[in-house]
Amino acid sequence: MRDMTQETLTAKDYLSDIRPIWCPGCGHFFILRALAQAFAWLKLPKEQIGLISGIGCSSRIPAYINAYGFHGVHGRALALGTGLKAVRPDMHVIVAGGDGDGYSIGGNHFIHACRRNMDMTYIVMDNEVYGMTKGQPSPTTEPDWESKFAPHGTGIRTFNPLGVALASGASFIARGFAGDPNGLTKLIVEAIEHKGFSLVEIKSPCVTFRPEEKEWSKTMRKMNVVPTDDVVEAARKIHSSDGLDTGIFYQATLPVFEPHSTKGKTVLDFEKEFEV
Amino acid sequence: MNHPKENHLDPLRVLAMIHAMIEESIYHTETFAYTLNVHHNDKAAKVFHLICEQFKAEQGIVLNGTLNVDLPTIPPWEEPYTEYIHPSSVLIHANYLMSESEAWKLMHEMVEIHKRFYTFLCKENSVNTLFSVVDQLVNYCNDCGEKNKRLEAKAETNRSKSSEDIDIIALHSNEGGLW
Repeated sequence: MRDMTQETLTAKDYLSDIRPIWCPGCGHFFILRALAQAFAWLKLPKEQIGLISGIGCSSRIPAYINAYGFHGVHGRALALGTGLKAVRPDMHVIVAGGDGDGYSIGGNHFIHACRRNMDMTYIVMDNEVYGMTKGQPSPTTEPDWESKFAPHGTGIRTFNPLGVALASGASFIARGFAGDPNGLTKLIVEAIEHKGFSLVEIKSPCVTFRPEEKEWSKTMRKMNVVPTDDVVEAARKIHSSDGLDTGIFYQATLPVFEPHSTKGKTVLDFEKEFEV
Repeated sequence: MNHPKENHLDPLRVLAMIHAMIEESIYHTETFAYTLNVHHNDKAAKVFHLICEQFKAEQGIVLNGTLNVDLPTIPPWEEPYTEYIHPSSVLIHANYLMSESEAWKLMHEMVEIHKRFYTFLCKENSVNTLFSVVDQLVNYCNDCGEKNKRLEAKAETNRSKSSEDIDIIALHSNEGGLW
């Protein structure tokens, strides 16, 4: 029998018995594996991990990880994660989801989660499409991408999550690629270790509805960005990038919102607080 | 951020890296075999499953060669040499309608990644102590390669005879998208 102490936990131990059923070739498989590798490298106690998701293909991820998880409501994963971090500041809160869930339905939560800069990690598996509902354009879809749901394209400019995160106050902003598992694991490790709100936007090909995204394996530039703590320099890097650069664009020490912990309080304590 | 790609030819580190690479290949082929089955593509799933078993045998060689030795923990982002490609990176070209011969092609690429690593090690003088393990791995990969080529050729012959597969290919033309 194996000694299951933190010292001996491997990536395998952080994966649940439920096997992923994403489409073969989907980038999410590699992100799941990188996440488990990162947990194992950091030796995070399973009972100290809270993995929260919204709705979509990528949001199935808590089921596949052997830790606490919550498959939440569409676009509200960050709100749930914020709540968890507020009452359990000792936990490692990881929020995960897709581009539609995070940047459209949950767009407002995204802005304010960045602004609050709570100590949590947000992993966005960006495939530039709503895959689960069969291929509608998402906020990160190019304006000229044609599909049955958007003949002649949407004509709407793409959302720039890294730029929005920077402007809103996130203190760690990175872009990774599902096809670079080694680099991605490093990014996730650094994001979890970072004190503050860390965004890891991961380009993850949807091989079913955006098969052309397989080309990313040739075009994405692996870990070519040099981190900076200068917000102006970071803005320049983010806005001059063609979306194919990966690495940490911005990492800075900023005030972290840490509400007074309610851990250990009884119902009576709460009632006393609200006594008129 | 620097993404380390230096060579680490300390024998134990090298063995740990080989072990990690095979572990990744086993996980991904096992997972993809499962998801292909779920997507009702039993033929391709069978290929992935077969190769997974070969990777497990490959891992057996490493484990036998490192009995009573504690392998060091290697950062999961560390790459053994400059041209190294993560074995899972070829799987981005999988799709749920893939034919058996397409599955074979992908699996060949994964096996080639293993072989390239072992060949690289064979060229390095500083890893003499590893030679017997690496030599066994190279031989094993070569044997599997021959065997798999025969199976692939058989699959290819069956495919050209099967009208069902031709329909699937027609459906799946243009790089596999639904639109």
